[in-house]
Amino acid sequence: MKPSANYRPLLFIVISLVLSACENADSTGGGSTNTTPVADAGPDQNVITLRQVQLDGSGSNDADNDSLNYAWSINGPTGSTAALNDATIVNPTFTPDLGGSYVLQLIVNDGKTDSTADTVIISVNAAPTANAGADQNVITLTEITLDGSNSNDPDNSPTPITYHWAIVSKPAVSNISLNNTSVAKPTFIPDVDGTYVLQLIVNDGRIDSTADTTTITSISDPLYSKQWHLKNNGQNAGIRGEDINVEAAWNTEIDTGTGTQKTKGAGVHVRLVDDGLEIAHEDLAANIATGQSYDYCGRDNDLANIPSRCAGHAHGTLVAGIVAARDFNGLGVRGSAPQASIAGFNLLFNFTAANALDAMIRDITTVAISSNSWGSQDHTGELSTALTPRMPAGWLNSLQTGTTTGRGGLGTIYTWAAGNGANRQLDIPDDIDNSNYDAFANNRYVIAVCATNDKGQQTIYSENGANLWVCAPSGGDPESTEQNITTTDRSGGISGSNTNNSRNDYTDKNYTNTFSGTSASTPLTAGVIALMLQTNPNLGWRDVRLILAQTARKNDPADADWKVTAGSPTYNVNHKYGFGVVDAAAAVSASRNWKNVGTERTFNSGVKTVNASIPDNNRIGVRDSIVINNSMSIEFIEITFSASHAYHGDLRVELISPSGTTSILAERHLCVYGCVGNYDSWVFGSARHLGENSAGTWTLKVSDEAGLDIGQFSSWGIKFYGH
Amino acid sequence: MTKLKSPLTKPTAMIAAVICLTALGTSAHSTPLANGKPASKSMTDKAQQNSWEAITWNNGKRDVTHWLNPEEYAEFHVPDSTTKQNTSAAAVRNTNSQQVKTHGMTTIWRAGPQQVKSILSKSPVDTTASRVSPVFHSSPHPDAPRMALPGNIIIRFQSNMTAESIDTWLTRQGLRKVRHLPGDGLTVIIKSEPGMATLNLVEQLSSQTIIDEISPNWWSEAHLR
Repeated sequence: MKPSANYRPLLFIVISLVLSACENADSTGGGSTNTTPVADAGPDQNVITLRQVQLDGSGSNDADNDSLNYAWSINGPTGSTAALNDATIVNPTFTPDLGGSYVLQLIVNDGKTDSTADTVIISVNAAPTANAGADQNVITLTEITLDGSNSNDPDNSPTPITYHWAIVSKPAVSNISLNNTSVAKPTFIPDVDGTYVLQLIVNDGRIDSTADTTTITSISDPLYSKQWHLKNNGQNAGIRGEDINVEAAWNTEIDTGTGTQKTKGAGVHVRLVDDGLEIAHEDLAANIATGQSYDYCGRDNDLANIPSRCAGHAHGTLVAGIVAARDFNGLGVRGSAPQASIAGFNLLFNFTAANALDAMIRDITTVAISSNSWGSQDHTGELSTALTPRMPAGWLNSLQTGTTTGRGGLGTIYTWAAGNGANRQLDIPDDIDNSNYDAFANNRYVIAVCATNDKGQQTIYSENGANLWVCAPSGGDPESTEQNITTTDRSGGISGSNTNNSRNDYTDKNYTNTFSGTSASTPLTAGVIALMLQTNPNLGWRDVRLILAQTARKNDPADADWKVTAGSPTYNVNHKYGFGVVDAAAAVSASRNWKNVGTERTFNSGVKTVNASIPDNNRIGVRDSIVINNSMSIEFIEITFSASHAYHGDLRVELISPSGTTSILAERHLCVYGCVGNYDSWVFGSARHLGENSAGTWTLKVSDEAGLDIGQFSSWGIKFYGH
Repeated sequence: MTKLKSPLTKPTAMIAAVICLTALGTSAHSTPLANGKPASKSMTDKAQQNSWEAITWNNGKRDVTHWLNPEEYAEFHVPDSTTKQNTSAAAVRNTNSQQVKTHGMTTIWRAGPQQVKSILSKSPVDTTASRVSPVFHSSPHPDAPRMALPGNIIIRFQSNMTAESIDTWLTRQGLRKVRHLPGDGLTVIIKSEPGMATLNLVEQLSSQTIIDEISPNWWSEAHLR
């Protein structure tokens, strides 16, 4: 039935009311209404990258208390791959991977209808990244720069990054500090060898970066720790302290007038008379005195271009490293005077008398020290020089010239290898050589240097002698564990000591651990003298000798031969060791305020004829005395001795001073070539009466301590040098 | 002139001849013995068997004796002044000499006594070639240090001489000065030919009263330590 036209307006009103009610309430089937839920995505947050962010949709609500379903969505900065761990829970999390704004939208649903979307903005600040720079290998005492400039802040906000450096670790004895801990590129000077770890943290105004570290490995001279002769820490079974005590000397500062400098030998020139010198060696080149070497083969100053016949120069290169291998260059080894200048004279490749004379005095005015690791043939027992049974004419005059005109008249100092001919390794009853049988080593112009091993005892080869002045460390018995000397070697392993076929030597063929002999002790001492002369350039050549004697260390104190001289000051003295082992620190210290001794005085007793038979095979022997009325403080004595004997090796010769100090000038020994020649005005030297007064009765005792051969004590004389 | 003396013999009770490493080509401290023991008696016998000529000369103060090795001679090389390469005397190149040792600018050769005499009798053709000299020993022992005479003489004059008076004297004597050594001017090197000519000249001059000391410019084997 159709509604009648009369009821149509009323029906319209009813329907409109019903529809209106339906707009405000969902149909529940039950006829009740549903309220639309409200989403609340939580408060905005400021966070940093890579740290988890938790969202909070718990503020969402539904007026009907219907349970809500959550629907999160994320919209991050371009490139971000950050994702919610669960987009349907009330507190999802995500980790922003990039700086920028992340907009997260939340819609809740009460099971009937979605809420209006709500959003939260997560503002992400990118964390800065510290970069402390690459690890570095550096040279000790050389300033280095750290580099944190590759640190970064991706969003460069809120402020430019700031730097915060710190020292994490350093060698125990180091005292380093950074010049500035808050700059990108601070500097510091590694003060000792070792490992330094430094840390950098940067901050972008809001947050610190993770710390980054850089490791600095600092080394001065890679093989320095092997150079027990400079610093004996007891390495390889050596005895701690049996060295030349040079580190303290190096650290002594000298006032130059315009500043200070360490005592490294700078400005002191050392001539190495040897078989040459590799002047381009990486660890020597910096100390080579240009144009001051001499080539006796090619007869010019060009050691870089020498005749192939003379191209060996292995020994001279070994010697050179001991005195003046450059320090703190990151290479090899260190010399005892690591900044002294050196030049090489390759005399030994063209060894004539005239050349030898020349090598002692050529351009001598500029030479502070002449170091000579050569001499007469060792292991013979003969009275000899390297040239003839007699020194060449003018030999001592040339040395006198050096000591009077060298170094501006203060005197060149000659160091000389005392000799390797003791032959104690042989199964024979006596040493063969005594340094006093070598006229190169026993005269007053030279400092005869003996050798001690890494335990501070006489090496198996080092010769006794009344002429010995000081000892210095060197290699020991090759049949034992005693260490040899580490020094420079011919480069490249083609020739020299450490060749490509060498075993138990360094992989770096520019260096060797095999050097030995009084050849090594001599340049070591020359280096110490260079330190002394840098400290006090006004020292005379005799002053240098006196300082070395006064400051030498009494090594091997249990040795029975040690005696104390009778004069003033007193000295410890020993036929094996002279006045002891060179002590660089003490010598440098004593040099500083040393008052030079006065003009040298001499007194010559003249030759006294004796002509007395020497009882054969009789230790009592025969004695003769000379009374000296001249009084001086003795520095050195020459004893001229003549005896005719069929085998001079049978003779023991002793000088006894007025105070009872004895110098053993010759001992019974074997002669390899038959003891050819008599003591025909042979000149012995003695250092053992240093500081004694010359006045009084001096006695020479001569005894024949073996059978068969007989002889006669012909004459003797004594000459004093002193002040 | 040189004087002939008998070869020295040695007492047998104390003999302990050992082989020494002469430092020709060796370095530093070396073990001195070939086997760590004194050498055998045979080596001593060898020395005793040598009938070497003893050459005695006077150095102005006393006689000095050396022993002449008849089977060896020394060659002194002279590097070319520009290339520094060594030249060798024809007298040496054309022989069958055996090289004993060489070190630096000197080579020791061995040959028969007659051949050695022959080589030594020939003068070098020119000054750029090597020179030769007899070989001497400081003791009558085959391993004793060798010496030779490359030429030139060293004279130390008496202290009352001056450089000028020395020059005058040298001129009067017909001697050619190589140079004065630095210092007091009293030590002078004068020219002489290699070999025995040098010793002969030394012997002639040694009795001069103005000479304090005189010696040949000996070459010797070098001994590093």
